[in-house]
Parts: sequence; structure tokens; C-alpha cells
Amino acid sequence: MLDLTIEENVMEINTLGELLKYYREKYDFSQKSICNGICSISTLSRIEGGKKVVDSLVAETLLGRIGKEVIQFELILNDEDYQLWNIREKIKKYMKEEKYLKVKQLLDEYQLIMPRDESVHEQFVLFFQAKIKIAEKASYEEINGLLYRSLKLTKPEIDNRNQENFIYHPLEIELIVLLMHYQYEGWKQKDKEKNLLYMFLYIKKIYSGRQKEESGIMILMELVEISQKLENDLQIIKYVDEAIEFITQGRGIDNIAKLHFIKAQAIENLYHKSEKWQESEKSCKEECLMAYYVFDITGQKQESKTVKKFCKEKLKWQIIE
Amino acid sequence: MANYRVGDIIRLARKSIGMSQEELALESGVTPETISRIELGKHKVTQKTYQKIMERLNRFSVRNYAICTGKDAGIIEEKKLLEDTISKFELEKAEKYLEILKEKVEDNPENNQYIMKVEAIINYNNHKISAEDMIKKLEESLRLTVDNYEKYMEYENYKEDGYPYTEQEIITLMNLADAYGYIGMHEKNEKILKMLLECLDSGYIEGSVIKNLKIAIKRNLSVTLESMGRYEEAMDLLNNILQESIKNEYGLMISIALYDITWNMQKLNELSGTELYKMEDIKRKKRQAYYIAAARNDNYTKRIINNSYEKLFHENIMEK
Repeated sequence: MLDLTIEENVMEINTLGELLKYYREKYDFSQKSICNGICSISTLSRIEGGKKVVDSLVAETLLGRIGKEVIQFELILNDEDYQLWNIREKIKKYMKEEKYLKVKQLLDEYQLIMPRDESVHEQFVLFFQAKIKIAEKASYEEINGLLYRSLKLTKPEIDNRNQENFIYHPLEIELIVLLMHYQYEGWKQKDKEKNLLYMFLYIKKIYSGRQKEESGIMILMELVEISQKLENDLQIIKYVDEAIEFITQGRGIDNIAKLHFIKAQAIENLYHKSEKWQESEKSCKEECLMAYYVFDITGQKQESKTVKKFCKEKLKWQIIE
Repeated sequence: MANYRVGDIIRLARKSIGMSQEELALESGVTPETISRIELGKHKVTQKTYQKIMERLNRFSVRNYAICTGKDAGIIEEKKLLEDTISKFELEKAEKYLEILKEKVEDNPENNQYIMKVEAIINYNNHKISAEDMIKKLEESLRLTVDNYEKYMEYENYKEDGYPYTEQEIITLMNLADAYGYIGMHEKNEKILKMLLECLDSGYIEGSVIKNLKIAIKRNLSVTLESMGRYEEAMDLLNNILQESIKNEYGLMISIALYDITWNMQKLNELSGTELYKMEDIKRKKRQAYYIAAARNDNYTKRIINNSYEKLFHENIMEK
């Protein structure tokens, strides 16, 4: 009998306020950290008290900060909010399907009717505009311009040294990781690793389910990449191991082959010319085999050939199926 | 968690009881045109109207809709703990969590269904009740929200549209199908699973969780087919499962499907007394399955594959 656990951070909500209050008290967050950049503290108090209704994107963003995801808003939105919600759902869908022209059209439509006084809507639009630029392989400058403007809307103090009292919703995490990935000029001197680790610990503690998986993997892959740039093999291995463990807590397979191959290369680089090679060679080969078979089964033929080539050239060893 | 399409649920529930749009419109205080547009997703139904419609259709409506209040938030964490302990077979702990949940949870059909189902499963695994009793309990729990699932099991009733089961009902039915398997009633097991697959094909629930759920149901079906000696059918299904798992990145199932395929190949070789499926092929697939399981740290699956490989080929799978 195959076991299934239901992903339970997802909730259908009736009283946003009660939920916010429950988790805020449970995790001992300040009201300020939850609503900063999204709405005022007095507004949050009124939401918690059930005396104020906010639109679905504001609700989603507030809940996102405490690691909760909402679906099934469909039935409780008023007509105007429903229209906006509908467009957002379509934008996300077409983005996944890489139908960028449609996304652009919808973004234009959204901008015409979105509320002007809520930062979250503009954040949403800028974020997807940035993603389109990324898909179109625009310049890093252009991409970062959009990403930064988007992030600043709900994280106005993001450039402060001390990020320790921040809590993040998933979009903010993605924006930060992307800005680091595209080497945003304003952060070049920042301690990226430290900030990423802080965010990772945050989501490990607070997020759950799909959001935890997605945000966590995003952060870990960036940490692996940073270690690769620094050519620090021990660190590469450390982050790869952590990333693999993280991914394998779920059911996915994405990134697994890539990570095992990165580890194989790091092991080879680290130990091949040393006396530790005898004991490391076996594990290096195992990493290669795991990478090879997963690349192969998922149809990534080019990558599987790369692994085979690496084994032949660096390990003087042929992978036979 | 699943994202239910409101219009589809209404349409499927209405059709399952043979009600027309006109009849439903009359009963719910809206025009037939509105019902039609609601079902097509072109009209946003209000909370009140939705609840009225669901009542007329004898479907418990709370789940598909907004429910979670602050006091329920704690239950969701308890539920997760409970399910984790069950999946690890920590049954004493599971019993304790269940007792806590019983006290906290609001008294409604859906919650009661959940409690009854979980209790039956724990008690069966604890050897406190027999498989037959588990079946009775599971069917009783189903009746709290579905009047008669067996009616919807007849192909004539679902060949056009399935019944819009909720996610919880689907999982309960999967448990029920399993239970029928334990007492050797494989045909019924097969029927229930096939019904679930047809219903999910209607597309009234979306999301990647549902795609994976379909794959899991198919896998259970393949095991049932194997129990009935229908190895070729099982293999066809497993090949489909393999393709779907790769497409949906359901990593855990990729190695399981590959391994199961080799198992069926061996069975067919045994039965025919010939090498219908080449040993080389079987060997290669087992190695594939092994390394993919290893890549994902699926240690339990890895061990099973390794043992099977060693038994058949008298060598260690990792020997290179």
C-alpha cells in the first residue's frame, strides 16, 4: 500500500484574521514584521480582529510571510477582486507554459485595473515583467532593475546590513535569490552566503509543503553555485549534500542528477591527486552513475553524455549500462 | 492539496444523481441559464448559492470551500503528525495523536469520516480488528458523505462523467480497495481503482498533487493485476506509469515502476518457460532502477532492488 501524506500547509480560509493571529502568536512574530511593506500595523490589527477585509493578493502576501499558502479563494471574492485573481491565475499558468506574449497582454490588462494604493499588485506585475526579461535573455541590468523595484515595494529596508528581523514571503525569497544570481550591482559586496543561509533557516522553520520545497531548493542551488564560483570543493560538497537531502524529502527528481554530477566533479577535483583518492574513487564513480541514470531516464541525453565523457577522461573509466 | 473547479463539481454532482439544469435551477433559486454558466465556469457563484446548490445535490459542501478558522489551524498540524507516524508504522504514537485529534476536531461529516478512516487503519495494523471489519468501517465512513459509492462503480454510470469525489473520499476509497485486496477480493479492488481513475480524468480537480495521486492509484492497480496473474496488463500499465512519472517528475515512482516491470518480466519468463524477456534487459532495468533510487536516497526501494538483483544474478549490483 502506497502511502500518501496530504500537504497540509495549504488552507482554505474564511477568517484570515484568526489565522494570522494564531500563527503570529505561535511563532512569536511582531505585527510589524508580518505587515511591513504590505499594510500598516493598525490595518493588520483590524484584519486580525475581523474588522477589515482586504483583497486576495494582500491576504496571500500576508499569509505567505508566515509560510501559509491559500487556494480556493474562488468563492469568497467580490467581483472586482475575482477579476484580478482570475488574471493572476492566468498569468501564472501562461508563464509556466512559456506563452510570453499572452503574459505580456495580461500584465497590461492587470495594470489598468489594479488598485493603486496596494504595493503588492505592482510587485506582482514587476516580478513577472522581470521573469519575461529573463526568458528573453535581456541584459542583467534590465533584469535587475525590474527585480529590485519589485522587491523594494514590500521590503523597503532591504539594503540594510542587518536582515535578522526580516520574515519573507515566497515571492520576496525568489526576488532576492534572482538578484543575487544576476549579480545585482548594489549587492556585489554583500555577504550573499550569510543572507541565503539566514533565509534558508527561516523557511526550514516556518514554511511547509510545496512552498518549503520550492523556496528551499531555490536557495540551496544558489548556495551551490556560489561555492562553485569560489571553487571551494568542500563547501560545494556540503551544500550539494544538503540540497539532495532537501529534495529527497519530497517526491521530486528535478536537479538531482545535476547535483550528483557536481558532487562527483568536486570529489575528483579535491582528492584525485592526493592519497585519499583510493577511498574516494568509489564514491566518485557512484555519484557519476546516479547522475548518469537520472539524466538518461529524464531524457537529458546531452548531460548524460557529458557524465560519460567525464568518467572516461578524468576517471579513465567507462560507464557500461 | 487539491484545487477544485467549482463549476465542474456542480455539473458532475448534478449528473450523478440524474438531475437536469432546470431542476437544479428551480431548487436553488437561480435561472437555468445561470446554472449553465456556473457549470461552464463563466459565472462566479456566491457562497450562499453554492451552499444551497450543494445541499440540493446532497454533497457536503464545507470542504470545497472556505473553512479554516483560527481554531482549526492547530488541527492541521496534528493531522500531519498523525499521518507521519502512521506512514512510519509508529502505531502507538499514532493512537495517541488520534485521541488528541478526536477531542479537538469539530463535529461534522467530513471530520468524522477522517477520524473513522484513520482509526480503522490503525486498528487493523495493530491487529485489533480484522480486514473484514476494516472494510466495514471504511465503508461506513464513506457513507457519511457519499450515499452509495458502489452505484458509481458501474461503468454505465461513470463512462461519460465520473463522480466528483473529494480528495479525502478518494484516499478513503484507495484504502478500501487495498483492504479488499487483503481478503483476496481482487476484482472489487480493481473495480474501485478503475472508477477512481475515470473520475479523476474528468478534470474537476487540478494540481500536481492530483497528478501524483493518479499515478499512485495506477500503481496500486498494477499490484492488483499482478495478484490476479495478469502480468502483461500490469506491465502495460507500469510502462504508462513510468512515462507519467517522468513527465510529472514523480521521482519516487520512477524507480518503483522500473523495478516492478522487471518483476513482471521475470514472472512472464517463468510462466512461459522461455526467455521472453532477455536477461540482459532485466539486468539493465534493475541497475537503472537501483541507481535512480540511490540518487533519491530511497533506501528501502534500493534495498529491495539490490536483493532481487543479487538473488537473480549472484553478484553485487555495485560491482564495476
